[in-house]
Amino acid sequence: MRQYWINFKGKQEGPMSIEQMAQMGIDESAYVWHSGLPDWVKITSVPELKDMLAGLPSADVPQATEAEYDAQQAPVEIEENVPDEVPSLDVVDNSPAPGAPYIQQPYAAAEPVVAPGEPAPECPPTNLVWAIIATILCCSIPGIVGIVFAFLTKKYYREGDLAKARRMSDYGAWAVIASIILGLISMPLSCAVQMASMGSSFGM
Amino acid sequence: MSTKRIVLVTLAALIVLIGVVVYFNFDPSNPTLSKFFPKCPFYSLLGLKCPGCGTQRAIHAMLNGDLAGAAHYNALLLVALPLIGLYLLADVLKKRWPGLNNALNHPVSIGILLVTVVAWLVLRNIFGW
Repeated sequence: MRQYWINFKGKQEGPMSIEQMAQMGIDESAYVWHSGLPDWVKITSVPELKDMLAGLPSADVPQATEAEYDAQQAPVEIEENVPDEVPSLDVVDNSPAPGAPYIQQPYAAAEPVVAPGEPAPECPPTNLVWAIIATILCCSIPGIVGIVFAFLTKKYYREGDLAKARRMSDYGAWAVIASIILGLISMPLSCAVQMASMGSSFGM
Repeated sequence: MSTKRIVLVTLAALIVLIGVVVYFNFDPSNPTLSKFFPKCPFYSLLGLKCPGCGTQRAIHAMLNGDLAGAAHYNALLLVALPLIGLYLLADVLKKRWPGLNNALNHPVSIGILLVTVVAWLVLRNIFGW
């Protein structure tokens, strides 16, 4: 299901589903972003959200209980470094809109800042299988390092630190690549050395 | 499946097939043949067995139906190969069985894996496994 980020009355929330958004008590003045959009857009310019807004009773917005919110709220990722290209949200009208009641979200304390253009916060690849294959078939030591980074990727992702998880995922990929390169260099090299010296068998 | 994925899977299958044919027919522990097989750089440099040492001989033994021999050369390989298969299967079927994939990629699972590999590295050098 598509996940949305919303900016309403200067407050940014997300990721959330349409159903969760419908319970926030938003109106046409909200701006939204989802993965694939280059920038924030007016909520009315996204067809499925416009339909969602049209289906909402304008005065009496269904208000979810705190328990329901807790159950529905997807894990919130907090981006550590906000890139420079975060679009300006000055355009958002912060004046209270009449008609739509503003609901105090019980989870408003954790306010994520997700830069548009970033993919939806799924866990970055752990490269775990490749690290295992590298450990047992290629060059063990970088392979083990790859498993360590796979562990750290998952650990930081579960802690909600997506930026660190992505970095660990990249390091893990590099560890696997290093293992393969070392293996590719050492394999023909070791064969050449042996054939030259007719040495006895050792190692693998 | 995307074209890129088909190419990658075909390439991987081809490499595995070539490997199976080579390691089934040629014994890396045969003194006259051993020089044609790559050696472990870790062992060559440090004189210590790495977690992957013995893999080539173990694969040859395994392909010829000698499981005891395979375990003698590298016992970890016997555990790792089904595990690699399980991880790949779980990745392919993660839409259908998200629970299996999540369990395999849980930090605890990865931690157990890591401890096992490092313990294997230490123990095989102490006991000469």
